[in-house]
Amino acid sequence: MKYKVFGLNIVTYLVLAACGVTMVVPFLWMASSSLKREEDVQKSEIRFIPRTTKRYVQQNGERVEVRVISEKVKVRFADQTPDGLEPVAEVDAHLFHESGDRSYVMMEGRKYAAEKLDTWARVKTVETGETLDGVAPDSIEVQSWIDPQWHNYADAWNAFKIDTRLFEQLFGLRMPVDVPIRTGFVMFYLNSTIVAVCITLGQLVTCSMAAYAFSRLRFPWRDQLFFGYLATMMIPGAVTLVPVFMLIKLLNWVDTYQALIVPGVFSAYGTFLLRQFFMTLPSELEEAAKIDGAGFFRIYWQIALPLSKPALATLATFTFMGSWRSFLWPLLVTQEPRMYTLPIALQQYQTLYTTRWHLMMAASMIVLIPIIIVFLFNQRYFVEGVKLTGMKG
Amino acid sequence: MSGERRREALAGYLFILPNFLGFLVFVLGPVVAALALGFVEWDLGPNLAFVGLSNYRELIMDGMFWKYVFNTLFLMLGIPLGMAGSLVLALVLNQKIRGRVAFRTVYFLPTMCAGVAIFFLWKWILDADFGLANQILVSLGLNKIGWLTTVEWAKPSLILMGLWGGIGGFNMILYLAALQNVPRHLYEAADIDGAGRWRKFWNVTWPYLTPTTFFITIMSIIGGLQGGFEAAYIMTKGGPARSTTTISYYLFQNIYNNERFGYAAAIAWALFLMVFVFTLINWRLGGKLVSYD
Repeated sequence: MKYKVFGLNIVTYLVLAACGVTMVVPFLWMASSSLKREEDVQKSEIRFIPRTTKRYVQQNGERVEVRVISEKVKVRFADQTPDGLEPVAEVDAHLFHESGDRSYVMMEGRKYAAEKLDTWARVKTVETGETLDGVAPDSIEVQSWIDPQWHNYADAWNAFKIDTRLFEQLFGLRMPVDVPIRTGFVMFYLNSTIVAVCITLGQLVTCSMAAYAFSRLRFPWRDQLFFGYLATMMIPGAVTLVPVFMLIKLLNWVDTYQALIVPGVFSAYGTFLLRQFFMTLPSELEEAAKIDGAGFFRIYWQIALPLSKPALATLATFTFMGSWRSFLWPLLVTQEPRMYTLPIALQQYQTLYTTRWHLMMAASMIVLIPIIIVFLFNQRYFVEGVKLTGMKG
Repeated sequence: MSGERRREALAGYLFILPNFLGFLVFVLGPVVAALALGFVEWDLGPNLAFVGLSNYRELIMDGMFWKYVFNTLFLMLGIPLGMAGSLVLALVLNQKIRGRVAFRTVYFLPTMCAGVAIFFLWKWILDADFGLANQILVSLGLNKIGWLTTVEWAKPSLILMGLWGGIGGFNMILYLAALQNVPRHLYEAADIDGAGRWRKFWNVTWPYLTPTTFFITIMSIIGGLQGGFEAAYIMTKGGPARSTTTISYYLFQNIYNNERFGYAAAIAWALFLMVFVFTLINWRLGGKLVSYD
């Protein structure tokens, strides 16, 4: 195909666009579902825009809101009559079809030619619950308008209640002045943030110090120790999971911040990544600093670290992301809702809401929106980071 | 040792101290402990029993375990599909297109948002009654499918979801980076020789992609063997009829539900063995097929 659109032939562009649409549509569906009413979410037709539909009939000169229970059509069958029915019979309205000048009833996969004689509906008033029969479908007034249910978000936000005090939970001490927290999501966001920040800082500090030592300092057993680090990188996390979990239980660290943070700080990957990076730094600057009499810590702090900003930033980003999303570990070490991180809390919404998907989607959006915003503003950052880790591996 | 050397050595040890201590307590120590754990039956209570190889023997005879191994391997069928898809996307995006960054951003979105929320979303999309997938089927006149509720469709559904989430993600970015390293003049030379599109790809592009492919394959297999827990726990609880329970899910069950820490450790070591063997196979194969310049 020779036609070019935006510098590409049109087929390729369509393929790219189709992929883009496939990526985005589920998110749109999530947003759309989160703004619907419960009845609206349980429909069989595809509808992306949340609508509210109300039906009215005239009763005693007044307009009354109703719900339609059933609609029936009285027909006369032209040729064949379905089994069990008379030539003149009542059928559900949705079985009756009119196309052009032909009308028929569809039953059990077969079409039966039929003529419409009459049609009526049975409705129930919303306010009084009174049932009205014989209502002409034409007389039912239908009003439908776009009606996003923003309150779903407020409902989902407030649905998970906890009972805790902020400083008491953070520091484990009774404080004279404290902040009571009742809304789950506030604490969940706080927990996820605290854990992610502490793990990231912990890794940055400990891994960079160790990486500096492994790459720039000489001490006995240096290379053998580093090989030990490498060797453990081959071992799946599952192997260390069991003993570390048992350790947490033995230390009585269940439902504590230590349990969530400390094991995550010590990873061989961070040390490995930074050590590889340090090895690529030119040593002239350090030599010069040594001649000037700088100690090892100063060289580390004022020369090696500033030069490693990209690698440190990448490590920080991935560590933060990994910790934010972490599911299995927080699941194992937290029991009380006040200690939940966002992923665990969201999972609990499943028991809270079972099949009330509009609320489930609202809760999911509450969790996802910050991530999407952060990503959209920093996406180049993430992509560069992936390239950095990939190329070093 | 001279004074200076001694100071350097001391500094070295001090620098690695915090990291190394943590490493001992939370990485190396546990690995050794896990070795020992594989030989006991314990629930952290007073009943600690040394049972020798019986955990491993039980594991080999455990029909459920082998079913879960099958599940795990089945779910990994999506890996080559995903890699091919990522490669195609990278090839297309590597050209000068208007809106290229926008496409790349949109494609990366599922990977970025990965987690519980996405699993909920897909559980809803694949809902048998009112999910978007079935709504589409019904509007095309087809029957609804029990995506997550029938044994035939549960694993394929998870594979499809994995493809959606992974195709525009890390692998695509890595391929894009590799593609940018292919020297332009080779393509020009190929043009002069009259090479067609396929020829150009196979003889010029592909050799530059083999290291990345090798890396992605190894990482995907290692990840795939250990994965499947989160999706199963959130979407299917390992069902229907345990068809989506993976090795890691079984591990979780033995830690959380059964509290059989010895048996769990044995499962973990079995997993390690599998990772080791697959990585070894990959390494051998890769050595023959990968070209470095």
